[in-house]
Amino acid sequence: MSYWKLVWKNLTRRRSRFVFTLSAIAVGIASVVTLLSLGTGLEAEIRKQADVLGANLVVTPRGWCAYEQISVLTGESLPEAIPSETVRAIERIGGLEAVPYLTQRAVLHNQPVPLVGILPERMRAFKNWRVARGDYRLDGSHVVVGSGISDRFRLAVGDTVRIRGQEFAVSGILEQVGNRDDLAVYMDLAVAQRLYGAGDKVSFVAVRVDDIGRTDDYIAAIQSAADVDVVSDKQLLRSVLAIVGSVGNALQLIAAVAVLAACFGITNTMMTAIYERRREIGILGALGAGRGTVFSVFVGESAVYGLLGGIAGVVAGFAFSYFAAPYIGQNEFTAFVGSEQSVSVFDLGITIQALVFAVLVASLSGVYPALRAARLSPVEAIRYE
Amino acid sequence: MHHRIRLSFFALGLAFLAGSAFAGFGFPSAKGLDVFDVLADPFAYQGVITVRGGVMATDVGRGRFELVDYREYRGCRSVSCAPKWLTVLYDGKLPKKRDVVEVEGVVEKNAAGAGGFVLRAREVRVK
Repeated sequence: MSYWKLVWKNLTRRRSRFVFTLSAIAVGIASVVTLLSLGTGLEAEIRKQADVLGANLVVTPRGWCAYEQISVLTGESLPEAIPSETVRAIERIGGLEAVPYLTQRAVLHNQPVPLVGILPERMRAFKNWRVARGDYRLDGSHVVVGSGISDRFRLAVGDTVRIRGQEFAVSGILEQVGNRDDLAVYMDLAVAQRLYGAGDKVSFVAVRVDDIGRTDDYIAAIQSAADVDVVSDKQLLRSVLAIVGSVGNALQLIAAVAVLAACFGITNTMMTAIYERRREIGILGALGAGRGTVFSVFVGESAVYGLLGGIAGVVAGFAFSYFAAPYIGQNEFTAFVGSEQSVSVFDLGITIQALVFAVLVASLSGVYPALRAARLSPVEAIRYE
Repeated sequence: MHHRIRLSFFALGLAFLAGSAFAGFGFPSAKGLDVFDVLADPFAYQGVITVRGGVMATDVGRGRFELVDYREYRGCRSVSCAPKWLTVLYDGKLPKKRDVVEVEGVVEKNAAGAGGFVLRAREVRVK
């Protein structure tokens, strides 16, 4: 009988025990896969949103909390707090390009949609936008809309939209860019400030610097020119990821407990198997099998538990994260970006990581029982009834 | 022995589910428009709307309470730091401070509310 045939026969000898031990490791690995799937998907989504901003630095009013920092990335409406004088002071600093945003909300067909007050030409150059239909005209009676808004509300060039009681004609529809820029209405900054009673203030300023190696110098220059907070895109990301991470800690703990319990399950199963198979182990030894062979048979059995449980766990984990993500992965960021966008439905990297982890952990769980089995003397083992 | 293994397995499953529930439902979930959405253009909303939010303050004598944005409340875990809020008038039993609620009602002009409007509630659901 070959080595692997022997391992398999031993495993499946007690089918119900085999199934339950396998289930335990599958649950453990499924929780790990769910955690990784949610984590990587969410992180990718946050990075994508940060890229959309297209800025190296974000200038915000002093004292903004994490919620407002997240809102910068997600395009939610934000309080207007930076006066135009401050924006001009930032613009006067050499080696950077500053673009102010006034992020508000409009209502189309009883549905809220993002409305962004912008300096039209500067924003167009900053974002490299192209117009798919109509003209790029933003003034007191015209707005442009993203392609997503056009599709969702069946808006065409020349249609009118009512914003805070005033009618605006849609002058143009932007080319699809595949991010949240597609899902907003764009209005001239001065018009938006008047309409929303924002005075001469904006929500935040996105800054792109010429020399990324001198980011700290730019931050210092902006802060000496104006009483504002400046965060780099990386700090912003870290800040958001820290919030997401704090939510993930609860999931990590669950996954760790599940895997630990599965390990004890394997150890327990293997220990039981040793007591049941003492006579068989003795015969193996009497036939010339060394301690190494006995040891490897038991570790091999544990490894197979890990591999099969890992495969089941990966399948269950991806399925679980797909269906349950809206409930278990919710946090301040996913509440905005939508859970569907935040889950990796399948990821080869996660699959390989999870399988290697499962085999490794299961093998380690089998080391102690395997050592006990290998130390049994053949005479003592054969004598056992 | 099998009985023990089964028990362990079910205990594991239960622990996993309980943990998942703890991770997901630590903060009450609510559906509806957000307060900031309504405040941005209140009179653009036609008919009955549902707004979700956290209760910042209540005034039982006048049958009103103030609602802060749900996402901000969820993010900050505080109803005291909101820069803007929505005034709700309701004839029924008022929710308590810090409750998460879904309010069904209509926007109407009313000097009692900041900005000259209120949400006249038909139903308030505490989550």
